[in-house]
Amino acid sequence: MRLLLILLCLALLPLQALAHAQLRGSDPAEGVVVTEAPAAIVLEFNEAVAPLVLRLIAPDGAATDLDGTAENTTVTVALPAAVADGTHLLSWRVVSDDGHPVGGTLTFHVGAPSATPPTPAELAAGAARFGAALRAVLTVALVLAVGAAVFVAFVAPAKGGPALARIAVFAAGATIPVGGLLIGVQGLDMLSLAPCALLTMQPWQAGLSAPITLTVVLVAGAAVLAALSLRSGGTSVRKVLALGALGFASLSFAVSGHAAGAPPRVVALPAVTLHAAALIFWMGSLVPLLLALRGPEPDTVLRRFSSIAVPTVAVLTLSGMILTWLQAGSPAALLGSSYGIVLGVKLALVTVLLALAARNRLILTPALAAGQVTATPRLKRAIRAEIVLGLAILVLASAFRLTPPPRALIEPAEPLYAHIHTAAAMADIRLTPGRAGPVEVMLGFQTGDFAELVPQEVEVVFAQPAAGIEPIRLTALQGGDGLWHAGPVTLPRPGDWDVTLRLLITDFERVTLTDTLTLPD
Amino acid sequence: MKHILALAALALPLAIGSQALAHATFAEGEVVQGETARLTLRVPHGCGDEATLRVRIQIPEGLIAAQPMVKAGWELETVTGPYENSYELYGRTLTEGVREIIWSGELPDAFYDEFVFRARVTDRLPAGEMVYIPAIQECANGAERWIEIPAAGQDSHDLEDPAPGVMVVPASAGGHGH
Repeated sequence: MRLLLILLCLALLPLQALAHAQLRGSDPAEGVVVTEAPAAIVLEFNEAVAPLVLRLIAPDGAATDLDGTAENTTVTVALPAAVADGTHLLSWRVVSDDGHPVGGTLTFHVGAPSATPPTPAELAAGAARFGAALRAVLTVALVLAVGAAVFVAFVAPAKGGPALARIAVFAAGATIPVGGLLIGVQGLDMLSLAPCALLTMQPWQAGLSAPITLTVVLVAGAAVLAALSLRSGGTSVRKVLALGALGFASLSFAVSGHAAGAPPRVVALPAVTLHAAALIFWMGSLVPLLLALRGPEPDTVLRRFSSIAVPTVAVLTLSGMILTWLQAGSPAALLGSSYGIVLGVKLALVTVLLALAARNRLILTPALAAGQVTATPRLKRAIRAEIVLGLAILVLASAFRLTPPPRALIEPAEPLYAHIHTAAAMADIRLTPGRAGPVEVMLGFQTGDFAELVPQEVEVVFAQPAAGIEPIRLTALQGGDGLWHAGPVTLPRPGDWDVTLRLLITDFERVTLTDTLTLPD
Repeated sequence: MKHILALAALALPLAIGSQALAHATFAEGEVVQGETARLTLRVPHGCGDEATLRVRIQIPEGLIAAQPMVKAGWELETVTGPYENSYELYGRTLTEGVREIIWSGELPDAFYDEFVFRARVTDRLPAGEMVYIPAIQECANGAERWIEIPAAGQDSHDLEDPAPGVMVVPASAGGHGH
């Protein structure tokens, strides 16, 4: 019978053409799971159509425009050779003989439905973590190189040993490739791209336009000056170059990142710069100090270091307090926030570090000066501990970049609620989870004046015209709980979605409610 | 090629004036206040693949004394009910009348048919405005409901399933002369 009807349709095409095109079926069919990606998708319409837009949305949310060929009532869409496993959406738009464009979205799954397709937000979060790790490496290398240059220029009585110069120059050299990579990774973060996109120009161009590029340039400049300072012969030249390196390195922390962006910038910018200068000096002196303990006159070195380190710690603490106050506004804002947790751990480590430093300054340094034999190994152990703590603090400081962390990574996504109120009817909408990907739709209805409203039929339509995603239609069914349920439906992208509820109230009366829901990144 | 098609898709509906061909519509473009109008509902297709088994139209307030035209092969039924207002017609006061007409028969999806009735156009229907007459095609497993009436500022073309409508013109304009 069905075949007969289809034949009848085909035979009577000219008459049929008076109606809108309707999708009769597809291969793969709506919602099926296929073991392997088909070579092509076949859309079968009730009349001859021509394709306008055919867009494949991959499980990772990436959209690809495909070409289709139309033959009579069939549109064949060739799929790319490599199609990832997971849930795909084909958003199609065709034009029929009456000139009316008609669109829809076909969902199919390759292998298995993707439970949670990585959203752009997750890709960005991955890039952000990668970027934070690179930033930590870059900071450690910078602190090593510049710290060594400053130490040699201002603290050490003579030119530092060859071991220190080797370490510092290696660290200086490392800043350039690490910094370069950081620019690309920043671009990945900005554009929500997967790491393999680093092979394309896109993330690099985006990264180059970001403030991080200025940071990387300053870091590289500081590293070059530090290396030159360590290599130069004259004491005054060495000092000038080391100061230049310290200046560039300190500024590099201030030109990007949210710490220097806190209002008022007049306060934040100098505070970040001073904080950075102090930390570079203190942390950067630890490795040279450890090496100096093996060299001549360790007590002189320690005394000169202490005379600079004490005011440095004061600057570090004061600027740190100012920055915390600017960022948080109030202590209450820090409690419970992930920013507050990272800061709390960092402050705890800094407290331990300060205790170690005070012990070095007040007990071990006088002991060394007094010629106690056990003082040197104890001091070495203490400095090694300081180095470990310092590294942990630098890594944590880089983790500030990740705070506040993308909600989606830490909390299961909350449902998204919306309420539409018109004179004719009201609707409460709940999407679970309230994020891009497969969602369940739950609906409750009342009349405009809060009376019971039981529609005969409910249709739910999602569309994202801005992204070229054609309407995705669902029929909602009333559950035992009196609420209407539809889905799961895959909403492949975050952002604004037009949702339309079509309620059939009586045979002759339909109420259409529309709203825009914003799925968070 | 795509661009040409896209342009064509945009231009075609404009060129043919409306997408009226796709929807259930009236053959007549306008009705005259104070006269009896003959209205012809054109049904271009069924519900998806299915044949139309019943055609129902709802007579809106302001159209009175509605009468369906008999139609071979189709059973006729009318539903009467009170009008919201009372109307004077040839010295009689009408407070109720036909509010719904139902044709029962079979119209295969692939075929076209017309359903005719007449009704008096009262001056309750403002001249210069459209009067929309909701229509439903019922099939074995579903229905096509041409029942959506555009809200103020909305265009019929914005609706998925617009109710068919005709323009009401004042008696003096004649409706024949221009």
